[in-house]
Amino acid sequence: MKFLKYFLMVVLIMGNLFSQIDRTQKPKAGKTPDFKFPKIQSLSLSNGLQVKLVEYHQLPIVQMQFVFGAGCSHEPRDKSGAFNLMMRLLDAGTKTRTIFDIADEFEYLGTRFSASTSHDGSFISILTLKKHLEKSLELTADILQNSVFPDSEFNRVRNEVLTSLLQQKDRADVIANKVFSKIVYSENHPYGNPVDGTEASLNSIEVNDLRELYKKYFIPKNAVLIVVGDIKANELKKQLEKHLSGWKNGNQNIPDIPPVEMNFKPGIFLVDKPEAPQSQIRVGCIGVERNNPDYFALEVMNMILGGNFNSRINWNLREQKGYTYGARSSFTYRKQKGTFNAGGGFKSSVTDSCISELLNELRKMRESDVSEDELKFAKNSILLSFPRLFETPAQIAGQIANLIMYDLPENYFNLYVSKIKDVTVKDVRAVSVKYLIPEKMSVIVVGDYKSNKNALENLNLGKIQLLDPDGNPLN
Amino acid sequence: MFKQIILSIIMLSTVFSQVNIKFEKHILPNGLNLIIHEDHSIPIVSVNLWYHVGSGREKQGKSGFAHLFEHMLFQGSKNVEKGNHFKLIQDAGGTLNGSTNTDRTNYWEILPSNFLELALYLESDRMGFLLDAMTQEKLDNQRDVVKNERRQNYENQPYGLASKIINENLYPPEHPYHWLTIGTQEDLSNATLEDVMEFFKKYYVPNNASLCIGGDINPKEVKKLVEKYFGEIPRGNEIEKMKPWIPVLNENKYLTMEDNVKLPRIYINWLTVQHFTDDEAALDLLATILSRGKNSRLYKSLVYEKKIAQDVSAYNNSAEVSGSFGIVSTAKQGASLKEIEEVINNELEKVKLEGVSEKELELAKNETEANFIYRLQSLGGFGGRTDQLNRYNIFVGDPGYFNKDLERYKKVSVEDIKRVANVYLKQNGKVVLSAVPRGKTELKAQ
Repeated sequence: MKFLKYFLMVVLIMGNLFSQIDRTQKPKAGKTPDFKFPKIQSLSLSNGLQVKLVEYHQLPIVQMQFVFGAGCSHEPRDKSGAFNLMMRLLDAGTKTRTIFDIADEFEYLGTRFSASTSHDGSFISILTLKKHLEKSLELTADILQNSVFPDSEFNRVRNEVLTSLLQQKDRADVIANKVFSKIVYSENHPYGNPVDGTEASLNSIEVNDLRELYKKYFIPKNAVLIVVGDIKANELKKQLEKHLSGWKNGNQNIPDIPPVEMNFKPGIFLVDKPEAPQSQIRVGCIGVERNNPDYFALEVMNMILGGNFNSRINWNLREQKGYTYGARSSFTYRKQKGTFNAGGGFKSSVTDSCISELLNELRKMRESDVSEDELKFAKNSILLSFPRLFETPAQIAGQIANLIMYDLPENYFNLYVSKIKDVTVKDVRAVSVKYLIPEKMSVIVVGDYKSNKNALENLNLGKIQLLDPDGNPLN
Repeated sequence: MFKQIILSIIMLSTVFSQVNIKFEKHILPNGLNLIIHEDHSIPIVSVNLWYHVGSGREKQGKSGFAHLFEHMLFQGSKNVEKGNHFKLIQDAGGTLNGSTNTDRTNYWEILPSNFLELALYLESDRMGFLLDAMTQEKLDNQRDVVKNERRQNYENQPYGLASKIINENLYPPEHPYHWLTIGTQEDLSNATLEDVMEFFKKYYVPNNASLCIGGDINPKEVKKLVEKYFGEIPRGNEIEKMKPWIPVLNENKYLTMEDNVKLPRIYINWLTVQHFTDDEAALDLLATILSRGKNSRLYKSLVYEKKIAQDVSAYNNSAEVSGSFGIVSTAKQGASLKEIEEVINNELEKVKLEGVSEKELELAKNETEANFIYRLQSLGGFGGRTDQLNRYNIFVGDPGYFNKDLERYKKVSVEDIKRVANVYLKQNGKVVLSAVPRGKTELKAQ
């Protein structure tokens, strides 16, 4: 035994000597593994509800997601925030259950129920253990059909949202995002309204507004149910019929969201946050719709400009200059035109330099082609990331929800791959020239006015327009 | 060359359908722990590397060091240029990150499975050959980045520096949890290249690290590759474990902080126990009973019925050296922190005197058990399976501790809840911080 031990030790030492590897060369990748996008099965219930199922058997869980085609763009114009309140109050009581009954039953099951809304649609997400699927479905069905929106709960939750609006004014990043939306969208477009409303709009909402929205839009034909979980189609269908077939359809169609006008509001807009150590900056304008044919080139272009750690913007402002913890750019795509913006949080004393650097990066994208290396990197980082974006049930459901929201075909993921592969250096240049126009950008700054005033005026972006934290002009 | 220690299949609680977390553990001659977790559901691999060092190892006047150091690990090493760590991973379609807390620093990559070797190459190059590429310029740049991180996440955030004040008052200056992991601007300014090198040589050694590799992999190949890339990195000096140290607090410290906020907020904190103790489980469940869900005691009373608070949360935060229990609540406009504190005290007194119901405990346990299952969904990233295997391995020496961990929660009784409330949430022995809008100190609790 002892001998063996010494022998092994010698081998170990020798092993180390001979195992010196050439680290100057990075290892080559192995064979690309097969990855197939999850198979989507389609079912439909007797009440017309469309169901998409992806079987997932790794864990005994079921993720359900209802996608409704109506969202806060569909609430009455002067009642901004009503849809959000409706979603928040969905589980606040049904004809037979109180708010506490519902909360306790979900908690007892270990089921997570959540509801949310956006400008383009609304979502209910339910994550349950497989063995509690039936009970969770029964509760969900009750909520979908019999929510009563009790007056007292309405008043309480509205007050909570009003209070949270007040709290948002403490946060420079939230102010910057909200003011940005308000500036770039014209006043009469719903995309300019915050999802959670304003103080004035919330105070004009009555509980009956919520009941009306619920009645109007919470019908099977305006929804799709996505299920990803440890269940087979026939079993799922049986369960869903049992609990959801009583959910009655209606006639209400979902009105189209009006198109966004291409108005630009160049200039510099500042919300004063005295003595703030950082300035939150957004440089941006109106962008494109989700179904715009430029979508694919924009995805690749933005990856190079500010869509990842090694992107030009982050490399310049974080890794070269140390002005920020992180800077990025992004397009948000919606049913109608979304937005583009570049920005982040930057050390207050270099606010002006950061704005000019951001604008310079846009100019560079317009004025010269990206390199083939940059293009290849951007495409790789998009295309090769696919397997990990389809890992958890919630991720898979989210991917399918996008297809539904934006009317994309079920073979879309494959289509996406080929479209991204086709993007060329010229395409990237073309969309840069088309969409990254420095002269049209609105520049929003939430930071210390006094110490930055002179430097910002010297940027020649026009007179600084001072705004309150809600984005209203100050004198 | 590997010593195989455990091959284990864990069955999670019989209450649930059975879940298997398969893994192997090996220890390399240089002390590196290797955990391999095979799962071919999708063609990805997660490489998760823990170093058993966090801000608790810092010396006074050198706060923020462990975290600044984490940043330096993304600045390139002998064979990897600055920027290439990110670039190579993302060029492969992967993603990556790292984080630092008081006790440990972790790094991870998730990649298509055919790029496993790339991740091992990168991780081993920075474990073995970081200092060859360290420069003053890189340090200066990342120091600036971290200072911006502090501005963004602490100084320019409402209530952002509350945790700093709480820790400074719960723990004496020599205690490892006295300071924030992010450090102070002053200490960050003082960090030198020599400090970086010394820290690296001491703590970033294979015998202080645990590497967990999971996903669409062949365990035999993984072993060979890890041996190839990490085997030649020399073992470092032995590192003494951190010792539990729970200070005794026999007085109430009432503190006030003025901040750029609209609403006052109260923070009540007590010292508790280290992680993986039985009482930690009871305290976690107590926190759930107090503030999780609409029917929880504090939520129902403060937010729902009296409507004097916008929110309330209770949590027990146990770590390697010590632990603390906290209750945080934001007052509605016009409400005072005094009345909020009074309601909290009354609710706590009820628990201490009468205990909680079997039903409340059952709800809290069910939720805890369901969370054990839900958090098995992700292979990689913060909190993913490979991160959990490493966490258990680093702190209890057994990657497959899932079942025993859950067992701690299942065996908690209503008597335990009552007992821990009495033992730890003392009427006399807490830090109470009032964060109030600037110029409004009259809104404080006491």
